[in-house]
Amino acid sequence: MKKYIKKVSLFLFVCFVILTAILLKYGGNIDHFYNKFTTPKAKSMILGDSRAMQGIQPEILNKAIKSSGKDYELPVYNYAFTIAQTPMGPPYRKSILRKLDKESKNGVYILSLTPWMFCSGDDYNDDLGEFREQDQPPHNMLYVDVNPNYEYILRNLNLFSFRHVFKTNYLLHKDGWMERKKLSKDEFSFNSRKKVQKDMIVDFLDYYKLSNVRKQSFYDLIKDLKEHGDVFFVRSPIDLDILEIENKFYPEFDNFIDSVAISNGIKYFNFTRHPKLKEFSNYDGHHIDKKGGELFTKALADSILSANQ
Amino acid sequence: MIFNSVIFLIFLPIVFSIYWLLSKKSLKIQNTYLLIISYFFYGCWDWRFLFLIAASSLIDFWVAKKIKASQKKNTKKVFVGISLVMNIGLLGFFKYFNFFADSLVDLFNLVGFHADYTTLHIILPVGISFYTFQTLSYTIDVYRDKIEPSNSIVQFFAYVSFFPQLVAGPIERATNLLPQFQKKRTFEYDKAADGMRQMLWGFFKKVVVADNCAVFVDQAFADPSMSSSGELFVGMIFFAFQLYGDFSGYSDIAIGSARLFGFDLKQNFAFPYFARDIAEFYRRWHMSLTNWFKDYVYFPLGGSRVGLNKKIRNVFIIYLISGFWHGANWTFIFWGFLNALYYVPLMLSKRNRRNLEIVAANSFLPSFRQGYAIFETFIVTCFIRVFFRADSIEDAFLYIKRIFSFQGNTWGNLDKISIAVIIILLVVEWINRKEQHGLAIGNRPVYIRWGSYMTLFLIILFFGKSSTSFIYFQF
Repeated sequence: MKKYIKKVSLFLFVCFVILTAILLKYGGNIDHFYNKFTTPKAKSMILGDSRAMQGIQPEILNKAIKSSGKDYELPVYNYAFTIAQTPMGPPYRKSILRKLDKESKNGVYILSLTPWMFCSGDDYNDDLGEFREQDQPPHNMLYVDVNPNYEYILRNLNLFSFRHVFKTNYLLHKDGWMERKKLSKDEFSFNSRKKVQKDMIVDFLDYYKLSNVRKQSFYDLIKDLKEHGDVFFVRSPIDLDILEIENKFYPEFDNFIDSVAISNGIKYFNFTRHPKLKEFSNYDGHHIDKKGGELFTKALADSILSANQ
Repeated sequence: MIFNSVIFLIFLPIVFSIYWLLSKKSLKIQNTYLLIISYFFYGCWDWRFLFLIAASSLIDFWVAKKIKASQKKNTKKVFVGISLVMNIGLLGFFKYFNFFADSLVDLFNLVGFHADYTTLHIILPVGISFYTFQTLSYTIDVYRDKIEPSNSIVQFFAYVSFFPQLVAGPIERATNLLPQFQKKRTFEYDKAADGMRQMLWGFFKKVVVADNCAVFVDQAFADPSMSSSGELFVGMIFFAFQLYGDFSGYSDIAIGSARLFGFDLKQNFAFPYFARDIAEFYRRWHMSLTNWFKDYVYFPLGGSRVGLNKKIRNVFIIYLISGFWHGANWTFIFWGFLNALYYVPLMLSKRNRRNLEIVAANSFLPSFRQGYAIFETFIVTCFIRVFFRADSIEDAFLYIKRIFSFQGNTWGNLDKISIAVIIILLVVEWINRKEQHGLAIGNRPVYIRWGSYMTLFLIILFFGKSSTSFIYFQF
């Protein structure tokens, strides 16, 4: 028995070392979210769905804030996920508070908002505490700041694709920003990608309904974050036809965010009305690409910095 | 809980450690412990069906005792009849009720009577086809005086529910497995080490071969009219490897896991894709089911020791029942029928027992003739399997028709990884074709063994895919 245990342990140890090395070196290649749980607790954060995850680049924001001489506590981490995972609500709020460095007193918290983030799926009753996102990361995670994070791999092994060590279309940077790589830039590819996204958003119209529970959780989150620094609302730039669908679903959205912003003394930057909207290029109608993201993040940083002058 | 899940990878070492640490001194503790963890394992799917398996086990335990105690042959027959009715009744209700009801309605409508019927929502309990056959073999073997009835209810319950093979086999006969529950297991290094190797090979077959092939297969079969002939042909070939990787992979993990606990389960797959004819193919494919049908259906019908007409009838019966066992759908029955059609000429020409030994037993490579026979058997079984995979018989014919229409000149987005892992599978299994499983390399030098383990681990890590189930769970 001793011989057996010794040999099996040796085999498992070698496998464990290989796995750890891959996680440390290629964590951003092999999973879309893994790196977000390997960075320290955050003093400042970007929060929201996939538009924020791909569109707001913490590196640019950190540089801009640093060079402005503002005394915000840095670095900013991107702790945004996807609409399936992180609509507003008690689960996301709980996870944000887990990731938040409670010592932070002057952080910057950017909440990227869309109408869908205040909705529940048709087949869930959130009054009863049923949330469609609750079994997914980040909500199934207890430890959000350890490196390597074995809890993540144990709970979410099915999300990993180790073959992407060699080649990947999505690279999650250490600061939580997801870069979309190897995009075909021709019009046909753009239109095909946009069609998929647009169809999905049209389907949302039937599936989603506005939720008071999620709105209440949004108010609670603002209160929590304001204790640790400044909060900003942002609506990411998207193509006008997609904006039209969202406005059809929730015509009062901007007024709602405006009113919450005013009552809480928060600035709301609505980039869907930005004069340079077309410069914030996207690759599928609503996810900003790398170049567009640089411009968008710079413009967002300028807005944040000028708001406090 | 499925084998290719993180939960199982945590469950197994814990259960293994406690088994050998706490229960090594007493047979009673060993069996009680195995029974508890087996019920826990099954209960992870749906605890409600634990009552079903417990009831089935209890009745067969009681029936076997009654058979043994009865003096008269007719009384024995009554009791074995109770077991047959109960087990086949359970299977019939849970698996086939809707099929028969739907077919009856279709028949009425066909002859002009209007009939309507709403299908009941019956959930198929996982593994029911396997454990009912296992308990049936027990009562029949007691009736035939091949085995003594078990005196210990814990032993018998543990035998029926033994977790490695509970859900998808191998279907273990009481004559092989029950005696192993009657004597204390002691840890054997070689057995456990080989069990680990077999599990590793099983994981490779399931998560690398089967689950990679599945992506292409699902696309091809989803809508054959949208695929080119080349894509459909590749989809058909990949399905053969998906099915083999999935099911034989499961069997390898099951047999390997059982060996960790000191049990020897029967070999379920003996490299069937190296078979030279259909008879050899089914002697090597899902052997525990083939042998079950042979012993409990084919031989009682007279087997091949009857007249020509009855001989042919028996072959058709066995393949049709086998098809029906796989699922309540006409596609499976037709698949069985085609297998019988393919088998009968071989039997009539008395060539069905020509290839009893593994191919190229005394050489490394097969002769040209052997190679051609392997290729032909493989291709024909692939075409027959289209009926196994398709949603309906019409879809299957459409699929095959489109292959021969030679439409479109593409092979589709052929996944090079799937092709590479199929080649690895075939090469490794060819090298070890005389062994019990593909990774039976216990007698090879240490650098080959450890090189193989690490290579397989890396292949599984980098090229494995996650799926939520095994194909044979639905049967």
